[in-house]
Parts: sequence; structure tokens; C-alpha cells
Amino acid sequence: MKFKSLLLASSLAATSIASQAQELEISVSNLTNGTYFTPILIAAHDSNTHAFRVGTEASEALATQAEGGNPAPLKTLLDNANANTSANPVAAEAAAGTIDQLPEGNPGFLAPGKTTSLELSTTDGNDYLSITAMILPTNDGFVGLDSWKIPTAAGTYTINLNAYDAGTEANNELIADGSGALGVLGIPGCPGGQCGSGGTGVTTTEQNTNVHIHRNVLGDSDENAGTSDVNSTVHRWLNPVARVTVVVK
Amino acid sequence: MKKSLLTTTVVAASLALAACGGSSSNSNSNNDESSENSYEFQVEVVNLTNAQPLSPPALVIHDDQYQMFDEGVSATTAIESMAEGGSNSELVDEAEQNDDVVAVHGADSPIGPGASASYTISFQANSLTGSELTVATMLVNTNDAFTGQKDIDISNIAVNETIRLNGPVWDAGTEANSETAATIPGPVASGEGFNEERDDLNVVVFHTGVVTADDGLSTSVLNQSHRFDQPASQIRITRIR
Repeated sequence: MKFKSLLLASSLAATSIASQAQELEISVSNLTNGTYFTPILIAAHDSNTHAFRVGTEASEALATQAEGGNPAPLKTLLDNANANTSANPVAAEAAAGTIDQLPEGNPGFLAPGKTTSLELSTTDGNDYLSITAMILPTNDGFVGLDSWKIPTAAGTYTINLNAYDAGTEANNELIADGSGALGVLGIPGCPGGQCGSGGTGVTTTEQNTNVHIHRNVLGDSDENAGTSDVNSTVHRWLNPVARVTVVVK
Repeated sequence: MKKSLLTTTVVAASLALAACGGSSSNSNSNNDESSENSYEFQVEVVNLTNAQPLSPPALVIHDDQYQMFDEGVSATTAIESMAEGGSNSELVDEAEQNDDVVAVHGADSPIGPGASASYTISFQANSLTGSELTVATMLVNTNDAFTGQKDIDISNIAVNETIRLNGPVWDAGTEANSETAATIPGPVASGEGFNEERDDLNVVVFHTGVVTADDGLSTSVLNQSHRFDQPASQIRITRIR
């Protein structure tokens, strides 16, 4: 009965490749000099689901995170698509005493040079990993990973992440209380300090209203005037802005 | 597809692409065996910049002997023409005459910021072994910046499978990055495109970005909106058959 056993073996193999639950250990490092990542959203999902896609319009849920840092609506969107999600690993680590929250009292920002880690269990079919977090101080900049295929082989994998612009808000680079809300122009905070005030605004328009690579903050060196409240010698970056290490167990 | 191996080697070694000469049209004359297969790929190019339209891309499918450009190597005149003036016709003409090229597509239209364009490329070959794709397109509001990808291995893509790559920004090294209105051919200035003079490093390197008037270069016609970081494009390749 050689034929029969071969058939059985191959169908088993196919099943285990197509749908494999996995245990992942994920760490995210902020590689920038002076920008903070707001609470990080991490999701394993299927091939039809996207947290964002370059060249397409941002969802309102993504815009909410990119403009104000709140990952909840995007987490809900992904949860509803049966993703395995984890939001705010920094807050979880702070509660466990394994990371210092910088600056003190924030809701889970990842400071420059810091690394946060979490464990994620994926269910059958959720073979793609996506990550999003707002970059502060920016208007609607975010660090992102879109649908990285999770390897099936056990091992340690490293991915570099770029900074994106959600395309939903003009990059005026002015700090304004309450501007984390959708449709309110401005940068809602400057966690590491060193921002100025009294800027006149860098721009009121954006040419690319789809998700795209962020052109970086312009900033200036005038604390009390100029066009930008962002400091050009502190808050600029170059891609990549984050490194992600994934251990597939 | 039609010259002898010897000629190919000489041409590749000297980079004297003009030596191809003649106007021998693209007839599939030589193709020996009749065991050829049909292949088709869809290539999508996404513009990831804020305010840099991309010139009509040149897309070339080739073997590992063909190289459109390389870092640290002086750009061909065809690359210079594309990177300074946004014209893909020289790259397309040269590729069509190159033995190591199996298919060429010169796009007709630019790709605006945030926009995408898809191209279908079909060709006949005995197999895909060693097949590579190179894509090149200018960031038109610059002196001589271009993006794309070179020597992408397409030999292992399964039918209906899509691979995705980010395209960095290169500096052709053929024109100084003065950013003056007279030298930027894009819509921001409609200045000069291709000029055969070489007044820069004269090798292809990674681009360091534009400075712009908003960052203190008072003679620049560019403003903050034209700045860009790597990468400037995303390339999605789907094998149709």
C-alpha cells in the first residue's frame, strides 16, 4: 500500500504548511536620535488584511494612530479580521518593571535607543506580521511594517523599518494641544522636549495624500520663531528608523 | 538575442554600448530550439515620494550579463539622459539591441506622487533560469536622482506569486546638485534636462536627498515639499504565466 501512505503523508504536509500556529518573540528598537514611538501595535494576520499599504489612502483607524498615537481603532479593525494583536508592549513592560518609561508618566512611548519586547502567539493562517506606531514629534508620521511574511522555519530574523507619512495631515510642524484628534492640525506633543514654539508653520498642504515614505521633518534652529516648532538638529531621522527582531520558536 | 557570444563579451567589457550599431530590428531570428515557453509578468511601480513625479520608467528583463548601472561605476549616457532629463528612450533603444536582454518596456507616462502604474511584460524563453528585472525612473524635481531596482531575480517567482521590493534613490553623478531652476526639468521649474557635460562625481552613488530653499539653500528652486528619504518607490512583481 505504498501509494496510499504517500498520499496520506503529502496531505498532512500540506495541512501543516498552510496553517501553522506559531510562537513569536518580537522586539522593536527605536533607532532614531530624538523621536519617540507612541504605543506600538503589532499584529499577525492573513494575506488579505493590511494595517496600511503604500500608494493607498490610510484608513481612519490608521490616521487616528498616526495623527494622535491611539492604536485602539486600528487594533479593533485588525481584531475584527481575526488577527492576533498586541498593543503597547512598553506599558506592559513598565508594569512588569523591565523597562523605564521615558519620559515618566507617558502612556507607553518607546524612547530613542530603547528596545521593547513581547511574545505573540499566532493562530492558523495568520502568516503576516504588521507593526505601526506614531513618531513624535510629527504631524502624521509613523513607523511601519506592512505584511512581512513570517518564516515557518525556527530562527531569529531581523527587519529594518522605515518612517511613513499617513498622508492625512499637512506637515505644518507646529506643536498644538489637542491636535492628536483627527482633523485637528498640529503635532500633539514633544515627549523628549527640545521643541520650540511660535513657529509660523511649514506648510498647509500635502501633495501625496496616500500613505508614502515620510520626507522627514524640516525643523529649524529657532526656539521662539521660524517656520517649525521642531528642532532640526534633534528631531530629524533617516531610514531605517526601527529594527525589529523576530524569533520564531 | 542575435549577436555572437564574442561580441557580447566585448560590448560588456568595454561598456561601449553604442558599438551595437546598425538598426537591426528586434526580430527573433536566431532562436534555435523550438522548446520556448511563454512568460508574462506584471510589474507595478508605486511612487512613495511627496512631491517628486517619477518619469516614465524603463523596464528591462535580462540575464546576469546585462547591467543598466552600478554603484561606484560611471553612468552610461543612456542613464544620464534618463536621470537628468527623464527620457527612457535611450535606455530602451540600447536594451533592445543588447544580446543579454529578453524583453524591454518603455513606459509612456510619468507616475505622480502617491500614484501607481502597472506594466505587463511578455516574452518567450527556454526557461527563466538567470532572469533578472531592472527598473529605472527619474525623480523629476531633482538634478539627476533616479529610483528603481536593478538585477531583481525573477527566476523563482511562481505563477500568481507577487514579490515586493523597495527602490532606493541613486544619484547618477553626472550633474551637480545645484537645485537651480535652470537645471531642474520637473514641473517645479521646467529647466534643462539632459546635458552631456559631467560636472559631478561621475559615478553612481546613493542619493543624499535635496537641501531646498526651505533648508537654507537660497538658490534652490525646490522647497520642503520636494524632500525625500529612501526608498522612493515600491516595485511589485507578479508572475502571470
